[in-house]
Amino acid sequence: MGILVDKNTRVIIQGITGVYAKDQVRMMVKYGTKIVAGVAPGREGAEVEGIPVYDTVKGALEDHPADASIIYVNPRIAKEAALEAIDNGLKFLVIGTEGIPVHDTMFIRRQSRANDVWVVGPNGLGITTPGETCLGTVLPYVRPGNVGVISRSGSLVIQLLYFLNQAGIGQSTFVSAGGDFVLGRNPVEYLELFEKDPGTRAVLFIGEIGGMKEYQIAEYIKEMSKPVVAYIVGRTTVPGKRMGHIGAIVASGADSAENKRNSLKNAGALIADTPWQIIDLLNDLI
Amino acid sequence: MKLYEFQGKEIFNRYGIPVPRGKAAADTKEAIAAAEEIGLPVMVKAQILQGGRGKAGGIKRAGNPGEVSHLAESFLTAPLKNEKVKQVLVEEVVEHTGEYYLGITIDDRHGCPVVIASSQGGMEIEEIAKSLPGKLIRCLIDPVRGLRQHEAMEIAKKLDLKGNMLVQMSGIIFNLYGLFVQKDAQLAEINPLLLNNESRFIAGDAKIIINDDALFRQNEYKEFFIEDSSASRFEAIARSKGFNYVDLGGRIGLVSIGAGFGMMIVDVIAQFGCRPANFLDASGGMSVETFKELTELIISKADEDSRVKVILACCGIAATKLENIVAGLTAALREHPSRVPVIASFTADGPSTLNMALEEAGRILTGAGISYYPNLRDAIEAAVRISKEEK
Repeated sequence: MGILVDKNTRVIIQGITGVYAKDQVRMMVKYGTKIVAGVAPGREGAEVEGIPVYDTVKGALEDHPADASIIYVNPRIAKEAALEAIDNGLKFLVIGTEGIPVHDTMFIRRQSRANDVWVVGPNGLGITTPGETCLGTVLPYVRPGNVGVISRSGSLVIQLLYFLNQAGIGQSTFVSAGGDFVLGRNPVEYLELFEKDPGTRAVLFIGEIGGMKEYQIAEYIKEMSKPVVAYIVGRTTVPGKRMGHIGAIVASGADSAENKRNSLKNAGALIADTPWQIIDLLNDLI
Repeated sequence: MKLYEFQGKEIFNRYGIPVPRGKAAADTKEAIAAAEEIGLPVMVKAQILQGGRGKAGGIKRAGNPGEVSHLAESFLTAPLKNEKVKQVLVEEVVEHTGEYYLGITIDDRHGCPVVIASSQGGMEIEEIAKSLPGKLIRCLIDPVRGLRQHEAMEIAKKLDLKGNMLVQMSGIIFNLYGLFVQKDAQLAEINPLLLNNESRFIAGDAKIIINDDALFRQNEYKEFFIEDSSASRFEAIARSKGFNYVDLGGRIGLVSIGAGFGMMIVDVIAQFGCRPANFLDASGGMSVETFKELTELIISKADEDSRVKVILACCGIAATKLENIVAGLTAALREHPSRVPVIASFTADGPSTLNMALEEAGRILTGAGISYYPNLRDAIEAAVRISKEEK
């Protein structure tokens, strides 16, 4: 089971000829992701890993019907690429691009929602339903199981998935929701899907300082039937100093790790103090 | 990128938001000339990027040229809230009867701009939210559609304004939104928005933060590039190279990439009863040269800061090539040997290991005199042990 994507999901790649994209595509093809076409303006007729390249999304879809697009273009043109996918009727996008201007992301978010399009990211590793498909970065540590994983940070979840793997804990679906301040879909929206997914028994949420998205998670946990383990990083920080992610800055106090931990705990989440405690908590649940 | 008040007000002025007559000055001579041009008395305001400037004594009134000179001199020679003051803003005095708040920022839950307004300004917005929640108006804006003039009017009406004051306020809200979008701002704030004795609204302060990811299309800011003088020397060097570095004052120098991963390491080290010297992050898809520079930055930090007892290099990577990390780390240490021991541990997955496996990375690093641990926890514990060994 899992959420949003499965082995039948047909995918096109926008910006398929980039160096970063090519590596990602090579790994995805090996994983079994159904990539049917690529888009790179001016490169129609070329091939990447045996996948035909088109100038436009429209052209690609005419020859190869698809359900989703993964966007790996330069941040300066990411908005246009996303709008091209939306205009051509695609209902599921993964934006891997890092560094998109926040006003562009707000535009993409609004326009996608108005058209019932689900956008994962920007600035994340994408989404993987282990054993079925991966739309984004293939992580061999991911394995099938019944824990839904939602992470804001990409780099952190790589490490945590490694720990899960060593402990034999698999995932129903793993989502890297994105490290940016504004996201296509907020972490809580994946949580709602995991609650409904029969293949998911528990959820691991990995959050951090900055922004207020964790409070939406806390609100929803109150009405959930499934247990949620939460791990929040950024407890040791300097107020007003940005810790890497654009959003990772303690600006008001409400966005500090401590306040988020308390709010999630009061809502009924199981709070992991360390990465190792995540494993203990999950082992008790599944 | 944060802008100084004087820069923000320059932009306000261009967007039709009324500001007091004023001029920035970099020395006492310029300050006196500005005061005489504006007409005494004047306000002399230290230009720093942090908030809470008034409370810290950074805003004072001067009645004569001697006072202007004295104030400018004292501001420009002593740091305010640990921030070096490079300019003062000399401004006309605005006698006023009211202090409003008006700000536009981004609501990350709804992923759109939010206009926040209150008839009780002058204090930090968090304070208003706490003490006078009923006085705070929040209005979400559709980023595709934008803000219409009549909607700005609706927001202004909620402030219980009438007649000409209502028209002025809605114009300011409308113009501030225009600026917010066109300048790629993530914050545009007027606090206080003064109501002067002639019932005119005028911006008492200006706080604008430009989204760093949009600087490529905001050429104007290249001219008034701002050096954050509250940044430490290493923070400034890191910034100039495009890295995100934060001084934390502890004993373990950290070479890491990935924001979430870095924060986790910092937290875990703190839980082991220790403190890292720094937080460090850089974007993914890293070259050999970039990782070498990151490493060199922390080696230099250890050279200069005797508190640093050990360097810990670790990261969880998926896009960055493992061979680049290994080559960058070893090259940095070859050219710039470290004063303190170096420990490393990597978790690499996905495309990062296409050309080099972790076992091979471990062998190369060990050969280069680095203590490599396949298990991250072992590496952190080793670093903590060394950092606690000597005083």
